[in-house]
Amino acid sequence: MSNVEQSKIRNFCIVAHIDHGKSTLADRIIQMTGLLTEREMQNQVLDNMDLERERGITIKAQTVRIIYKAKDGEEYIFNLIDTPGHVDFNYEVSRSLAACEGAVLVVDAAQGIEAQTLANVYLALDHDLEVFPVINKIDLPSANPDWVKNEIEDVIGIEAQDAPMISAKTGLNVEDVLEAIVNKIPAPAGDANGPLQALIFDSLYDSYKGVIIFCRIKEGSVKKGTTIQMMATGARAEVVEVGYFGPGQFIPCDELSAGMVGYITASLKNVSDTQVGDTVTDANNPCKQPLPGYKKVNPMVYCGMYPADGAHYPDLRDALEKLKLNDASLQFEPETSIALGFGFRCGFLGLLHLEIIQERLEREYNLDIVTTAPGVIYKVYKTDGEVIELTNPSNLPDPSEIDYMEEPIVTAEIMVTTEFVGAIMKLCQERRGVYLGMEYLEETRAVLRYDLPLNEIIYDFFDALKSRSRGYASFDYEMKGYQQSSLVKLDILINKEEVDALSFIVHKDTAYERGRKMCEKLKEEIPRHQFEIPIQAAIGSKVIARETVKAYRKDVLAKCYGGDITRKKKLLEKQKEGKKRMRQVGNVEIPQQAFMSVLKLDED
Amino acid sequence: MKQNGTHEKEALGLYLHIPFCLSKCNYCDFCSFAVKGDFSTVQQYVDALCNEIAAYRYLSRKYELCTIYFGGGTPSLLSVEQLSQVMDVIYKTFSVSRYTEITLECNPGTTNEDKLAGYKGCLVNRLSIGLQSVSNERLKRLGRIHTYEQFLEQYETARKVGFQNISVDLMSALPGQSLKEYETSLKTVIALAPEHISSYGLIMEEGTPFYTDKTIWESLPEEKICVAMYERTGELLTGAGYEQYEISNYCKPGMYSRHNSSYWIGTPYLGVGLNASSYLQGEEIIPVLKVEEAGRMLRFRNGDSMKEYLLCYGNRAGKGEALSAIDEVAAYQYCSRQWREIEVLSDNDRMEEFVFLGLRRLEGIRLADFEQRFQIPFRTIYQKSLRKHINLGNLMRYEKEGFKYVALTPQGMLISNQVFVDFMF
Repeated sequence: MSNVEQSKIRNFCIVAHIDHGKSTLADRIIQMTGLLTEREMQNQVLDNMDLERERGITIKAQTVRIIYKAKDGEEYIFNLIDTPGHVDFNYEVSRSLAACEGAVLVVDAAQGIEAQTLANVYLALDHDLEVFPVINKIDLPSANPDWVKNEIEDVIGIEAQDAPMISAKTGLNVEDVLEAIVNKIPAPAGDANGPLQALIFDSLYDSYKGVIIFCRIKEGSVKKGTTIQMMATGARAEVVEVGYFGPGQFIPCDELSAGMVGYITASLKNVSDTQVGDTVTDANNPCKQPLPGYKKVNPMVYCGMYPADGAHYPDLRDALEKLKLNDASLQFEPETSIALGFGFRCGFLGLLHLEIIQERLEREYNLDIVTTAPGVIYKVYKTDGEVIELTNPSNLPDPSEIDYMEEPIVTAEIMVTTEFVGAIMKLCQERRGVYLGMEYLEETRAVLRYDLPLNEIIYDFFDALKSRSRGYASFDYEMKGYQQSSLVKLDILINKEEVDALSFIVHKDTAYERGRKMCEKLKEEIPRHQFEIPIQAAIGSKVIARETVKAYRKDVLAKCYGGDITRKKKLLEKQKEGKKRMRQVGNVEIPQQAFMSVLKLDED
Repeated sequence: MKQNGTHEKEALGLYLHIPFCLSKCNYCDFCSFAVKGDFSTVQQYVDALCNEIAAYRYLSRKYELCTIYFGGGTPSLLSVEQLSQVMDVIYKTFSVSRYTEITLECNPGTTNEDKLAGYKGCLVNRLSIGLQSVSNERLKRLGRIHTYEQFLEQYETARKVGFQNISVDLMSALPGQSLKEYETSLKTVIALAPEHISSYGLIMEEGTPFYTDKTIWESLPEEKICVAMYERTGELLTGAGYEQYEISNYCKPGMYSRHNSSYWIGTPYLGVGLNASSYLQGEEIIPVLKVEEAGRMLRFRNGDSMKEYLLCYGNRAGKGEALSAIDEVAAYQYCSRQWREIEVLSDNDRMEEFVFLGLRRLEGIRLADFEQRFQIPFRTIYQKSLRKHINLGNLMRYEKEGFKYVALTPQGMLISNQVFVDFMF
């Protein structure tokens, strides 16, 4: 495939609000360009991870390369990059966009522009991509394409009158989209003969091939035998294989040159040698400057992750490093706990991100993980003059030894549509925010600035923000510094035993409310046992909230004759499966999700 | 309780399903239909049933019937002629010994003296009568077709024609039922001295009129009362000379239901008729099985569509003649093609069943039986769960006649589902 004409390449992605038909369109495009036969098409071809299929959302960005014979008789090479649609993953979307020249914006003809439509378009425009709209689902009775076209022009400000009107489901007019990609999205620029400059936008670890880096070649070319160098880490390696992406598989080729999207393997065994956002160049003919990398994203949620069995600590570390390879937004640092031993303090983009990493650790790496309640780093000023940086609530000294405490404060910029300014201001006030100011960006968007305690935003602030603004709000913050605060440690006791994974530090004003809500949540999550289970929230020795899980006294199947046996057996097996996902705390079996559910206490 | 037949054949239970009722009770989710005055379907069904039984003649090589059970629906809707027709085919097809327990379920209001006498003449030696409650008001709310008086009449008539093995069914935990009301039913039945009493706590089943009725849910007795009803049952019945031999079943000494016991101890059984379940050993000749599945125990059931059943086994289009003309292996293979939801049991499946079915019996499970059946000691597999539930007071160990047993305690019986979960894989 070395005789690839750069002018015939189109690197693009499809962006849309959830369920507007992005993946269906991607499937249809793959189907129509003939790389897969009808029979080979599984449902939603690009989502080839089990997890994704279960949740019905795309998590990992994946790329596929297809050939399109256009109306002008020429063959074009399309590199279609699939992007995730969930709000937690704006960062993933951003990385994929950096590999493209254009974006196809899909809008549902009945729903019109929605939150993520805007968010994605702004991101694409920020990356200088050529964006053209496509109106989808015109086969629906409630479709109103003309109205949607006007909305696009008014709100976003891009041309929409000749936007293809399609039904990705039936295939109607999808050809128009393919032609538009040829005509509206520019071919990539870049000198194939210049020094190699390739952007790593993703990577994968394979036990045989080592790290597989996904690159967009901006300048130059690379092939087997080239000695490449990572400009940020300095690591060097000889290229073993280059290639491009078929659906769900890697297809080797001779050479990748400017404008192309593909993968490189170079027997890179050390996962820390490659960094997403880094530039790959030729060690013997390096380029002068690295490409602009990515902004380091701020995690929104932290928690402690510990291996259930301490002996698996190295496996956990290994797994986290490998996950980070293709999930640059994951952050982690070692930490310890008296109760749980050695583990990591991990940072995530949101609660969904946390859950997904947790599931991937369990499923792909077979690790049993205990997750602690998220927290931040506090400064504890002891009466004896010592100052402690507290990462773990369990390490909080006795109150009698504490002079005062400080908590980290951030300055946050919240972008929201004007409709929801009031709701968001209320949310910030609830979270002990201090109002700094507000500006209007356009008629429809405003930026609010607040100082907020970090520990008020690490749980579910982001989710609350999204839900109270119907997805329109976005949020960024910077550390401001530490501030003195009246903080207390809230403990949770289940059946009179302290569960340190559930302890955390709160402001004394919110302690009662927090404690009450947690007890209520836990009561819902913990199943009945043969004995009564008291659930208590306490500050020191003072119990501030209490709920009780009543004991069950009767759980018996009255009749079990011939026809009942199979059904009963399946029921018992299912209950047994459920139990396996429980954590034993003393005599009480607590479902895994109980630990997570106490993080989602926001009421709409 | 493994019975060896007189001809050194293995024991087999036979269950026959009669899916017809005069009307459906409000809590019932069994496979049954109201016969709306048109009894011609019943005869068609009986003909089909006979053809199905005859089609299983291959099994009589290996098995002898130790129990026969007519369940439903309302088996007592069968006329004496119809029952006789079925019994004829059974006796022609299988070996039946004179010790075979032959049970027929009855609903009060569907029989008279002639009919009961006729049933006895067909060699039915056990009746199971559904009473549920002695309160006429209660019976109406349950959607039952009879009064207490009609039950009494049927019971006394049964005695008159000579039935010496009668079981009566009662229900507890009914909506709006008080402990006192339930006790009254218990005491009334005890006074009649049937050989066997079953008492079942109501289960709210999806698809029944009860399930979709909010007022029913709201008036179900609270857990405390249900527990009291259960405990009271044991107290009153034990005091009156009954022995509890299973979670819901009590009998005068020796008068336990042999057919139902076979479910809990793992005796094979064949179910014929609509939706009937079976538990049989697989064989090479069964087309749907893979080679490695041939010797394993199977569970399967018949379909629940009357139309399909009549098509498969009914007399129309000469099906009956055709089935009797082919050789017994071909006939058995034909039957196997009608099986649904076939489950090939692994050793783990069978161990699980051994435990959660065996523990339903008060006697519990005999450890030597487990070891013989699975070639591995019970302790090796289940040490942890055993210890846990002994410590919680749910299980006990005891020895009898040199054999070691594990059984549920009264406390454990009440929460037996929680115990069973820990014995699943």
